[in-house]
Amino acid sequence: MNETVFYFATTLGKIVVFTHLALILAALMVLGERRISAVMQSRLGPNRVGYGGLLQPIADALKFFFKEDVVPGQVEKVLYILAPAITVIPALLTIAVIPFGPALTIFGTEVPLVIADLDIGILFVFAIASLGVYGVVLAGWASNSRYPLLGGVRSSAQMISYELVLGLSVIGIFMSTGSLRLLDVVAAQQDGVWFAFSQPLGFLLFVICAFAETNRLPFDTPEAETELVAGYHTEYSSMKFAMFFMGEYTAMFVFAALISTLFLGGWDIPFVTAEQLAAWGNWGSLLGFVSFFTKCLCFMFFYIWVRWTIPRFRFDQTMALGWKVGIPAGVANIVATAFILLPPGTL
Amino acid sequence: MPESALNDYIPILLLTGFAVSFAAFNLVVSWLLGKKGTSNPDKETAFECGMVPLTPERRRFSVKFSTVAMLFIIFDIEIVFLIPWALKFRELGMFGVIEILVFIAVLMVGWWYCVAKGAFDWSPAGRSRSGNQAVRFTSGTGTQPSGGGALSERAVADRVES
Amino acid sequence: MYDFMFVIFATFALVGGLLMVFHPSIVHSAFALVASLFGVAGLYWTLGADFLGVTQVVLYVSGVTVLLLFAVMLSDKTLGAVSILRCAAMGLVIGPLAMALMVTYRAIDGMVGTEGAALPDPAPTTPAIGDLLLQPEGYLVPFEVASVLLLIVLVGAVTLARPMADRQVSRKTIADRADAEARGDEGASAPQGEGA
Repeated sequence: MNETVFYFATTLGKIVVFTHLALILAALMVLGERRISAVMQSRLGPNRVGYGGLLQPIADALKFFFKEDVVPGQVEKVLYILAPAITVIPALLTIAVIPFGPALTIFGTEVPLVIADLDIGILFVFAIASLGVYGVVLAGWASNSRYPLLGGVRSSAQMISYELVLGLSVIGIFMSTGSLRLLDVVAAQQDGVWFAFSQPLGFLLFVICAFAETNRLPFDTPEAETELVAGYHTEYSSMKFAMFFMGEYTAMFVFAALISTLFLGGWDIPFVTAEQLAAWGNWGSLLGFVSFFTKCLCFMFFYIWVRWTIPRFRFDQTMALGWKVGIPAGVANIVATAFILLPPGTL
Repeated sequence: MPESALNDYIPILLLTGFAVSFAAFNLVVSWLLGKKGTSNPDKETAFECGMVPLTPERRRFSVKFSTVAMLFIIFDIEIVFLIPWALKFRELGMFGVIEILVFIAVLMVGWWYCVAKGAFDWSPAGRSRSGNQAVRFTSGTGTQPSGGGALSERAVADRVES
Repeated sequence: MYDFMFVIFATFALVGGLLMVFHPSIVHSAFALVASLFGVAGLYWTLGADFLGVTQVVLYVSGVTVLLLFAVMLSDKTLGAVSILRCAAMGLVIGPLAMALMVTYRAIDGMVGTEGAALPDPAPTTPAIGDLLLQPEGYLVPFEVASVLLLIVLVGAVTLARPMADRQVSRKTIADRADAEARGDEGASAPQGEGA
């Protein structure tokens, strides 16, 4: 087969499969969240559509499509319509650099299970994810309404604050691996220990940021129901409203995948070396893929678990945690890593 | 295909196309399929918990939001500088660590200054622990409780925020 | 491929820039600036400077522009009273001037008229930048001085935010009363609103 055709075919295949995986997982996460919340509150939750409510997301999506799209008169039309799109697009783009498993062998050619293995790797995710701020700000401003504006402004301040901590928390990993490529990060963990164990402080900070960046409880001040109705998407309805959710839940999946990749060994299976996994060929790849997904699912359960465990922080508490605790802790982590990793005798 | 740094970005371009068309698909299909409702004045107004909005929606906010954005840029530049060092950390060895420690130390002095000046204190002056808790305005009437000599600038800032 | 990406990103940069200059609403202008800066980041990417491109997005697209948006959104909306024509006229003067400066610089460099440089090899740029910044024979001194500059900016930002707070409410409201109060009280004559 022609090399170029093969390249484009596999790339397109990966794009379609991975984005759909993320979207389906996001949809299932909405269902999972409702069911698990229900269990935690001694309710049943949605269990009528399909087996155990499994088809509920499809029913919801169809319903969203057919709902009336109420656009209030005071909005700035163009930006108002653009905002949900700008929330969804960056969330989908960040999937590009996440490695889903060991390379597959198709027709004798190795196909890495990552859409684009960039030199700048993780920085690409940070750059694109930071664009997500604009979805929120645009929605808040274009709605031209009180609660969305408050939610949008709060959210952007919170997101940029925690972006700093996010950036600081992963530098320790780069120091160990000497590379920004996520494939290298996974390889380093297959050879050594998971970074969750060698970088405990960085891990903790990253997990906190994962909650803050996706506006999840306990950091959901942007859409605090009790004070802001629904935050920045108060004035949205129909599919536009659903798109904010899609973006948010896809971002949650991306952060779960990032945590699995950066700190929990990616597709690494404990006590199985990279050579053993490679020896099983494509079955090994599949096994690695399953391992990676298990980690993602565990973290996504953790999201829900935390939601019903820790109450919402006040906004001043959120900001204080980010700036007064997060930044010095992140810097301390870097300094400590530097002195631990430096070979002895270089002093 | 010719080897160039751009080849890595072909998949990104394809993915961007996919993401954009996905978003467009959602918007267009919901516009085509969605119920076309009638319009009435109540539907047209901004959400205000069932009340008629009395004041204009766009109001000024606390200057703290701008401060946070400014501080974000500064610390983000710090991180951007740290990343190339982190990749070269092993080669540069102790020398590089000392360089970076100096760099970080200078910026952490700035961080300490921010903390001391209360740039990260978002709670009303009465509740925050650091800084001078001179005066706290009660309400929009502007009556000042006595006891505070010079009005602290913080209190003004807090007034704007609340 | 290169041409295609160049056209896309250049369109972003130019259309965003034009929209920014000519849109009557200042907030819309700020959002147009986002598109423009993103286009510039894309141009860096097409030139193989991936780290620079990411930095552009992280610092300018999400940092500086959010600051701008806050400044614009959170202040009075009467800000947008500047005449567009005057701005355009200024652009017509400054633009060619900047262009002339650049061409002069290139002429001194002896690069005018030469072929454009070939596209760089697919090599990671980030470690190379680290080398340049931190090796003693590289840009070590500017790097360390940059931290002092950042410190100055930081102190300036925190200090400036206070008079700005005064300015925002100073329409015969609280700050005025506060000033009067401060003047009346001899003991504390802290300089207030010096930046106003």
